[in-house]
Amino acid sequence: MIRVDHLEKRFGKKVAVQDITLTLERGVYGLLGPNGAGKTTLMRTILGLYKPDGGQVRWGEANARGSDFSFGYLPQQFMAFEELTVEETLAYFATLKKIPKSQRNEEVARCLKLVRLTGEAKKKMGALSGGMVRRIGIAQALLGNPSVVFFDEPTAGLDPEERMNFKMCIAEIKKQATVLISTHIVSDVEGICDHILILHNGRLAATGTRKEIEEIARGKVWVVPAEAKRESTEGHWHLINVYEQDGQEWMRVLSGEQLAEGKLVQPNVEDGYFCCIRGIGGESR
Amino acid sequence: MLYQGDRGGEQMRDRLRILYSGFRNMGKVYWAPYFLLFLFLPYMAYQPVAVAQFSDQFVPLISTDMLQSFSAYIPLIPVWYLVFYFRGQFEPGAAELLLAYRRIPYVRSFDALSIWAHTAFLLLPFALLLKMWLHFTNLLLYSLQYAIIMFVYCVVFFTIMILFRSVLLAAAVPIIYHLLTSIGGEESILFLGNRALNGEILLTKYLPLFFLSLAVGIGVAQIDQNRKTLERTVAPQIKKLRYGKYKTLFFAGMTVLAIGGGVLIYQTFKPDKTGHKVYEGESLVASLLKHFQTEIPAGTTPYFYFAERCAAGLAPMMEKDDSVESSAEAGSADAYLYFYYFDQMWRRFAPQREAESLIEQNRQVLCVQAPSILEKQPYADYTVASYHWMYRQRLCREMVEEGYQEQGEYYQKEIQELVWENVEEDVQFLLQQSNLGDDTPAFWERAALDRDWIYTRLSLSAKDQTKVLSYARLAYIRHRASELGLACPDYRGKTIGNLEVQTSELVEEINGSPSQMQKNERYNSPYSHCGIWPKEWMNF
Repeated sequence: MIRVDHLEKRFGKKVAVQDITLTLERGVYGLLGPNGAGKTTLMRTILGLYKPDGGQVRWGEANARGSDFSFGYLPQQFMAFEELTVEETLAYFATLKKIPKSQRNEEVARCLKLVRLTGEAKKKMGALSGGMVRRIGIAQALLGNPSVVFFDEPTAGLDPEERMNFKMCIAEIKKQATVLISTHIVSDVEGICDHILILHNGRLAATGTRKEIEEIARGKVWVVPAEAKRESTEGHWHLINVYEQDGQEWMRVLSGEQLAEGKLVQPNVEDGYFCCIRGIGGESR
Repeated sequence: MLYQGDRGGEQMRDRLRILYSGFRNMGKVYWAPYFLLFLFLPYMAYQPVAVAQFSDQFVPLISTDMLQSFSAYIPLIPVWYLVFYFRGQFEPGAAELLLAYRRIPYVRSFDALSIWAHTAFLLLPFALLLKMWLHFTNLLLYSLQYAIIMFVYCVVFFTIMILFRSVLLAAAVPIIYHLLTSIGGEESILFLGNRALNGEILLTKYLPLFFLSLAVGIGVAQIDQNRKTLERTVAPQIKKLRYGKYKTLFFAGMTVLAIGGGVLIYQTFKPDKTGHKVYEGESLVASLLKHFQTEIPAGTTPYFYFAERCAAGLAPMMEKDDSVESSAEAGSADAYLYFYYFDQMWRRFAPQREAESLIEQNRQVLCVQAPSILEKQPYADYTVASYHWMYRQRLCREMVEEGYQEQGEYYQKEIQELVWENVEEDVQFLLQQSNLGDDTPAFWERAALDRDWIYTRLSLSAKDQTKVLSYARLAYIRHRASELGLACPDYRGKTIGNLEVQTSELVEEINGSPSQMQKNERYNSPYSHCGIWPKEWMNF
C-alpha cells in the first residue's frame, strides 16, 4: 500500500502538484489529466525520483520506497539501447531489478510473451518500430512480477490491437499488484481501472470508481442536433463529441443547465472527466 | 523474486553485466579507439616509409616521432568511452529508470573506474607493439604516466558529470584542456610531449596527482551515492546562499575559491622544465657553456671536439661544475652533444650521399631520447656501433692521459708534426708488433680503405693506430698516383701535416677515378665507399 499525504512539488515558482492525498492499494488506478496537469510529476515524486517540497509518501510503513518493494516503471520516454537486442535489453533491466540470474531468462521470455514480441527477441532495439519499443518498455516494467507498477502514457504509439493487448496484460496482473496508469486518453483506462484519479492544475479534481466518476456527470450530459445547437446561443455548454446517427449529425455536450433541443443521456467516464477539468457551467465553449 | 541480503559475488557479476551492456550499447563507436591504436597510428607511422620506399630498417626511425605526436592523444580515450557510456544515462527516461531501479551502490563510480581500467588494459597490447616494433625505452614509466593522466581525466569527467548533470560539459573540459596544453602548454601539468619522464617525476608529480584525483573521485562518488541526503541537508543551504541577499558575495567567493584552488593545484604539480627538445639543444649548450665562462661557437671544429669528448664521457657538463640549477639541463645538454657528434659522423659515413641531418629530422624529439635513435639500424653501424667510435673513444682517453686538452692539439703534436721518415720507421716496427703484415701496396690499400682492420688491432694504442692509418693513407696516395700517372709530391723530409695539405687535391682526383671506386667496393667496412679519406677527416 502506498499512502500519499498532502504531497506538494514545486519547480521554482511553479507549483506542479499540490495537496495530493491518496492511497493506492491492490488494483488498477487510472491517473487522468490534461497535458501539464502534473501526472508525471506526481508519479516521479511517489517513486522517489523527485524530492517532495511538502507532504510525504509512505510505501507500506516506510517513509520512502524501500528495497522490499518490487516495482516496475515505464517512463514517458523509454530509453532504448539501440545496439542491444531485445533480449539483452530486458536482461539488463532484469539485472537492474535484481532478479536472480537463474530466473532472468525465464522472466525475459515470459514478459516478451506478454507483449507478444517473442519473435523479435534477437532483433536490435534500434531496428524496432516506435510501438514495439514501447511494448519493450511495458515488458521491462513487468519483469519480476512487481507488486507496484507505474505506467506513464503506456499506450502512446500503440496500434488499437496492441492497446487491447496492453489492457489484457493489465487484467492479468491486477489481482496481485498495484498498478497506476497515467494518461490523458480516457478510453485507455475506462475498461480496466478499478479507480480513477483525475488531476487538474496539479490538484486532485476527483477520485473514485468508474461509477463514481460517471456519477459526477449525471444529469449534465446532453445530446443535441448539431445544426440546431450551432445556431443557438442559449446556455453554457461544453462540447464532448460530434457523431452521426441515422443520417443526422449529433453533438454530445456537457451542461449544468436544461438544453431546450437536447435530451439527457447516460454519462460515461469521459463525461465525468470533462466535468472535472472544465467545470460544469463554465464560461468557455 | 528479488534476491536480498549480502551476495557480494552475485552483485559484482551484476555490476559487470550492467557494465558490459553499456559497452555493448556503444555499438561501432566502441571500436574507434581500437581503430586508432592498432590501425590508424601504425598506418600513420608507416605511411611516410611506404611512400618514400625506404627499407624496413628505417621504419622505427621515421615512425617514432610521428607515433609520439599521435600518442599524445591517447589519454583522451577513456573520455571517449565515458561519453558514450554515460550519455544515455542523462537522457530523459533513461536517468529515471536507472535512478528508479538502481539498487546497486556506487554504480556510476564503479562504471567510471571500470572504464578507466578497461582503457588502461587496452593500452597493454599497444605498449607491447611499441616495445617490439619501435624498441621504446622506459615503457613502464610511460605506461604509468598515461594511466595516471587517464585516471585524472576520468575523475574530472566523473566530477563534472555528477555535479552538473551534463555529459557534454564533462567531456568538454578534459578534451579542451588536453588539446590546449598539447598545442602550446610547455609548462602544463599533464603535457606529455616535452618532458623526459623519470621515476622521480613520476613519484613527485604524477603519484600525488593520482592520489589527489583518487580523493576527489571518492568524494564525488559519495556525493553521487548520498545525493538524496545531501539534497535534504546541504542543498537547501546552498540554495539560500545562491538566491539569498548575499548571492553576489557567494558567487565572488566561489570564483575566488575556484581560481585560488586551481592556482594552488597548478603550483603544486606544475612540472619543472625537465626536458629540452633537440632544436633547443644548441642554445641550451651555449647557455651552459656561458655559465662555465667558456665560449665554443657551434659548428666549429672545437665544438665538434668538445661534443666528442662529452660523448666519450670525458667532459660531461655536470662534472665541470655542480652549480647548474637543474641536473636535467646538464643531462639534456650532454645528450644533445652526443647526438650532435654522431649526427656529424652519420652525415659523413652514411651510405647515401648527402645524408639528411638527424638533428633536422628529429628537432621535436627530446634530447635525452635522441641518443636512442642512434642505436637503431642503419644508424648504429655508422655511429655508435662502429669501430671508428671505439677507436675515437680510446684516442680521447689516451689524449687526456697524456695531458692534452683537445683532440686538435693532440693530433697536431703527435702526428702532424712528425716527419715522414720517422713515421715510416715507427710504422715498420708497429707492423711487426701487431702482425699486420709487410709494408706493401696491398697493406696500404687495405689500411686506407678498410680502417676497421686497423681499429680492431687492439694491441696497438689508438695513437699508434692513428700513426699507421696516416702513414698507410699517404703511402697509398703515392702508390695510386703513380698507377694513375698523376703527379705526387716528394714525401722526404716533410711532416705529415704538410703532406696532408700537399696531397689534398690529389686525393680528390684519385677518389674520382672509376678504378678507385672499384677498389673501394672490395671492402665491407662502413667507410669503404668513402674511398681515401680527405685530410679533414683524419682527426675526426
